[in-house]
Amino acid sequence: MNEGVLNDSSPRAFCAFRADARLYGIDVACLREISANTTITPVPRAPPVIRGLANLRSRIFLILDLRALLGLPPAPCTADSRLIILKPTVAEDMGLLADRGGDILTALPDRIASVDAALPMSDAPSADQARSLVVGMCKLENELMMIIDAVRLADTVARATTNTEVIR
Amino acid sequence: MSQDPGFAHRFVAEAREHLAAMASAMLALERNQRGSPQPLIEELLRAAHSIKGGAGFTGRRNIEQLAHGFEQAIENIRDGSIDRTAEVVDTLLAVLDRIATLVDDVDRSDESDISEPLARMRPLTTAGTSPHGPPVQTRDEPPPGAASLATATPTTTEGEFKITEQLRKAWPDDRGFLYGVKLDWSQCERQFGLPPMIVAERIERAGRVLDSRTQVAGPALRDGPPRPPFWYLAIVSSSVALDAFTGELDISCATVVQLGQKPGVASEKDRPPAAEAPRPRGAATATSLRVSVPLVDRMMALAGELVLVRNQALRSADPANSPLRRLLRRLDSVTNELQDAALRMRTQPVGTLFDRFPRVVRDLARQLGKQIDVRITGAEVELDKTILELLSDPLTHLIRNCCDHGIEMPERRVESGKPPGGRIGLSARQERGQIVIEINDDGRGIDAEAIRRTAIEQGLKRGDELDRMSDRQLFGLILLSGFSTAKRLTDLSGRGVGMDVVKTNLDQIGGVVEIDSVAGRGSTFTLRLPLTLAIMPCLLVQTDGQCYGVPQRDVEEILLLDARVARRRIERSHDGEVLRWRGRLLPVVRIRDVLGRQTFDASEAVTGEAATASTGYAAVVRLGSRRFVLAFDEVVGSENIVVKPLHPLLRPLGIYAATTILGDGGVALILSGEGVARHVGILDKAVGDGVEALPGAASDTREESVLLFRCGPEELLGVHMRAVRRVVMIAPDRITRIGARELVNVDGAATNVIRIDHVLNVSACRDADRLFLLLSSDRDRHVGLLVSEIVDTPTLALQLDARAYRADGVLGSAMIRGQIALFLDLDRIVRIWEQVNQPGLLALPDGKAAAGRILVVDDTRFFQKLVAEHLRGARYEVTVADNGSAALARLREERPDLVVCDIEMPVMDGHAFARAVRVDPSIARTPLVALTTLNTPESRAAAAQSGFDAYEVKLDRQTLLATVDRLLNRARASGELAGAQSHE
Repeated sequence: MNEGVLNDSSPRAFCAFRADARLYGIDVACLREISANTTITPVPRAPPVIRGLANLRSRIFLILDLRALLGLPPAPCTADSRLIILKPTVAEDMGLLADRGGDILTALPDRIASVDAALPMSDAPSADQARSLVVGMCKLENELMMIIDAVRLADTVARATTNTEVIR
Repeated sequence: MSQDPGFAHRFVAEAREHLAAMASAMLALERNQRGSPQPLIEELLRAAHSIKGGAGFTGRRNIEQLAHGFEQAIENIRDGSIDRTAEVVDTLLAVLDRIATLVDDVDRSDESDISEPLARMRPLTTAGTSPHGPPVQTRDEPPPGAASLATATPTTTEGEFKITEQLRKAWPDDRGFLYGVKLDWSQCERQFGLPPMIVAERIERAGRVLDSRTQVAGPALRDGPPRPPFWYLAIVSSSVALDAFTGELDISCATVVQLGQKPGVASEKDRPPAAEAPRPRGAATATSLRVSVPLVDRMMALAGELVLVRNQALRSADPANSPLRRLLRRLDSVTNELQDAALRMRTQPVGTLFDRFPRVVRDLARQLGKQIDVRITGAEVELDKTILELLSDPLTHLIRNCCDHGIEMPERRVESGKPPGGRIGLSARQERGQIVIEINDDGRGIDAEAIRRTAIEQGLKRGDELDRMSDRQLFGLILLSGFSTAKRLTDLSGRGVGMDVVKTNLDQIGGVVEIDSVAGRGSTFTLRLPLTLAIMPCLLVQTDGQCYGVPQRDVEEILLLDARVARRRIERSHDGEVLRWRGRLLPVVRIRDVLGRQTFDASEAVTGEAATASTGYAAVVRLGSRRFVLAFDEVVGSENIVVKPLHPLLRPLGIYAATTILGDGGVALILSGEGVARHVGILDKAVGDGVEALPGAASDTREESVLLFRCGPEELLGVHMRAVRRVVMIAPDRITRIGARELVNVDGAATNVIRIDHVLNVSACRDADRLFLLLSSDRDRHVGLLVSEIVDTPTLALQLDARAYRADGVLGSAMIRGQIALFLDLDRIVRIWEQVNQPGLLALPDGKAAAGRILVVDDTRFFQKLVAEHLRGARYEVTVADNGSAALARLREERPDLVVCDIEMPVMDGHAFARAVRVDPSIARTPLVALTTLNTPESRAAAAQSGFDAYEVKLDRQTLLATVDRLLNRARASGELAGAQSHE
């Protein structure tokens, strides 16, 4: 999966952020910006992975809840929370709400391994979903960073939305 | 050939316009069998020639060839060598269609095979020209018409134009001069900025082109793109002399030679010929220009941003800093105008859409063997371009439907006493901030029985449900997906897609459709559309701390839902709440229930108590002829919001229409009235139509006349008309200041001027050349309220909210046409003013003690206070009670002189109270006045029966006072004044 991207020989840059204690990363090539302004308008009746809408310089972004995507229980926004906004080429007007982080770090390809579905994860209902999002692992100094495929992320949400029968 | 993509764009844009005009001219030509076709033919020739020229220049050979063939065919029609039969028109329309297809994909136009249309057109093109020249040529040879042009050498103009015999014949007598024009297309474009279409038009304008040709020098095409110059030679006839012709032509790089002059033709000097239009093109180029749509959209977005900046600035401005506020107000009005102008840039006349339908109808009619005429009115009405585009499919579908299912076969029509030709009317008009488009036919109408049958067959509705539906609702069923009553599927409206297409598209643009039909007489489809999609007047409401928008077009009225209203007017029906509203039962939808509560942040969570608080507001939402009541917590305000499209992933939810950015930078969701209704399923219910009248229910809300006005620039104020004796206009310089008071002469009496900002905390009255004085209805007081502007005097059912703005002298606020108006108690304002300015007057008039003691009984504190204040103002002593039983206790204890009592009250209502009074000998003679909102003969009779002496409707102060006065005098006269006894 995504061999072409993961097996390049030059160092790769990731935007690293956390959900709960775990560290996740998204290729900076997929990134538009990182924002600390986490004023989010909730969208009632939307599936839980949709956290709400945020206004960044007069553009409205659909914000996904990273925790919900990974099957973690929801948590309120804090001063550490960050919006990871994706490039329009990856997903139109879309971003991710992470618990904290947002730093850029680089890693050489030999520290990165692609993963397949057998990754042990939580047993939460959307564990399958979460597993399908993580496409690689990156070995850092003292922990592992899970690499999330942003394109797949957008697809997952699109599916989640269209499959949600609006409950009367 | 030209490598400039901008040029190709212009060619495409202009060719499309020409093609549209040509199609309608063809139809007109066909209809207009007897009249003079000359102007139409001229128009067709000009347009075809322009397309040919542009295509030739940009190197689109296929388009050029087809346009050339078309031009020849029209010439043959003009010369009478072929007839304007329907078949000929069919063929030529097909050619136009083909050209249009090629133009749509202009870059690949030459890859297409056009031998079929050329072959089909050949009889038309050769009919006239075959005796004189060869049929359609390829590009490398001169086109047939150019046979008369000598092979030109591009460096000289001498002898380049040869006048053949054929050309001489074509030279009209009324254009006595013949000129040769030569120019270089590329030079015109590069040095003078004149694209070929403009050049061609100028030449057409200056005279009639009898022959023309474009010549490209240099290597053969296969050796690569040719290089300029691209010579154009034309032989033009005109009625003016050389100087005037050159001026008319207005192309400085063109060389003009005079080739001939008919004998006896006087030169008409500089005057443009009467036969030619007086240069409309020149005027048009000066006042309009082509702007790309994305640029307009960008401008629109920027205007929207400016609105946000303005809102934020207004919010953060220090109210005390008046120069800044003045600046901001100026910014405010400029922003509004900018937004308005940007908005108007997006609009186009609906005619651009309507114009295609005569063609559509003609083709369908021929296919079906029917005769159908289309009448278009209101083509000039302007509509947002985006809406126009989205309207195209639904309108086409409706029109096809009319042709196919509506209009009968000619024999059938004659049998039923109609003219054999059917008629379809298409009209547009602006109405109440909406665009209304109406499509009607005089066909067979919609068979309500067939709809019933189909609905039952397809299991869409049950028989008893259908029985409860009105005709209009029944007709509305044909908009459901999968519904078709047509007996056979035709090529036209029945190809698997039904009328649901219409509804789907209209939903998308926030439009609604209504269907009316009379069997045998015809049907009418009425579409109601917003003027624009970019800006939407919205009511902003709040529920559970979140702000939502409701499109103002859906909101008919805003109601205050306090505990009392809720108790009296909301009832539980079998499957939900309904509200009594003007004699109808409307389903109640609570935003909270629709949206559920789904908040993650603790700060956003709402406590159970707040969520179930019984007071709130409700909007009567109207969707076509159906209404429902949308209940929410608070009204935030009404704003023209800049619409931002809903994220595609949120569209499947169905309940939101769009999003917007609020003044504080937050995002708000705009609810879709239709979506909400569908979500809770009320659109399908019989009760959802809101047309069921309640038996015997009188309207709860009385309509009353109010006067809306402004004093200062900010607040919209209102008073009941009853409270105003008269409005007089005064000149501000006539106001005389005496001490702290201001007086002005009204009808010879010195009248005190009240400035509202001296009494209430509102902005001061603006200075103006003329001001107005609202004279209090109390004739004994010579006072009037100074007003800068009279806004309106509407009659409406007021729902005053006394909570939002509390101040002495203010009755409450109300939402009127999306604006919040503050309603004043004029009497009270006068008295507050008097306390400050004329303390002496408050003393009771000499000799009169307190005029009497009155008990006011009302369960609504608001009314209680209002009536009490009013009576106190008339020098009565007033006590109050909340219901009949409390009143009874007070009456026995305090023995007031008179009781003013509401009828509908909890615990003990007015009737029970009156009956109790009349059976208690100690108080039985107390005069009782019923004061209620009900006003029916039945309720009056009931009140009289219970023992009331008088019946007053809430709230006419003067008649109430008169009644109280009358009853007290009567009681005094009979010497049994309860008060007197109790004082003894």
